Amino acid sequence: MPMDAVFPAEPFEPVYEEIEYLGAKMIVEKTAPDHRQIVRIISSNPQDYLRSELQPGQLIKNSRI
Amino acid sequence: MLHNDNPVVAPPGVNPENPQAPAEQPADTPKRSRQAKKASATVENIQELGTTEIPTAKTNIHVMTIIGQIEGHMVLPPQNKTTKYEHIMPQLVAIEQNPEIEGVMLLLNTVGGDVEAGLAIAEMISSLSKPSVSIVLGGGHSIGAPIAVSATHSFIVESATMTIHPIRLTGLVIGAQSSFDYLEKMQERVNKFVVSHSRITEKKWKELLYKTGELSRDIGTSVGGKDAVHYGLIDEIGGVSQAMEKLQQLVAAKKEVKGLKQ
Repeated sequence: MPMDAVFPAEPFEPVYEEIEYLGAKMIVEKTAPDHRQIVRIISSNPQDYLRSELQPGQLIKNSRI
Repeated sequence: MLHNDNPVVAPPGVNPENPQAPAEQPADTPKRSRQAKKASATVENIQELGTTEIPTAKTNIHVMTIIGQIEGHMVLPPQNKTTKYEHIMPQLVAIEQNPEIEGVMLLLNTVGGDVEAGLAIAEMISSLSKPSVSIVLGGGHSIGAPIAVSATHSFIVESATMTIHPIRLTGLVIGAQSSFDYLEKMQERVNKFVVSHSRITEKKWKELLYKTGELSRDIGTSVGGKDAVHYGLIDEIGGVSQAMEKLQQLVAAKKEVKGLKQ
């Protein structure tokens, strides 16, 4: 019996949070205790989507929130 | 310095991202002036983002994306891509209230979702005093249809489709008769909204709604971009440039009317 079948891997569930950062609302994923990663910006201002510091994937240090 | 065997945790006083770089400044001391704080923020921007400050261009058009599932009272699991009405509604209020915003563009690529949440968003958009333009991209299915027609002028790209089907209910039903009546009333609300906000006739809309044989597991119709315009559900075929041009026209027309009034 393979070990994988006995102990199936727990499904990975990302932890999402909604925060406000640099004046824009966004959904972030908690990737490490002191880091968040931008997943999606929630803004109706199209210019916010061009701001390089708000690009999805950017890491935010907790100290900067 | 202490020897650190753990490659993940940086020794104290060392920047974990770049061990060569000097340790970060400790938290602001009260002695530092505001100017010094601002300067350090600029330095931080240069270090982290490679730029001092991003010029913020002002825009008079705001954009809203209605994507994935329209989430209502039930919170969907985090794997789902959802549009939440608690995000959309306050944004619409802010757009209505902010004098610098003159128009709204809606981008739709949705599979539908909660009927009441969808209708709420549609009603909010249709009652805006500012002109709005919607573009259906990919799909504007189910409750996405009322949202698409709620804008002042609607566009659909040729490759997009809209699934028109009656409201359905999943789960346990208590009181079949009253539930059925309620469902029928809800359907009537959707019908009324779509018919009054687009050029489609009630007869045609109901025909699309209750057609059999078109969808494999449901009654209804899958309407392509060209057909949606042909039936009068959507105003025009077009993408982002046409939509933006139309929106600018609507904004200019509104300004003119305002100018005449004053």
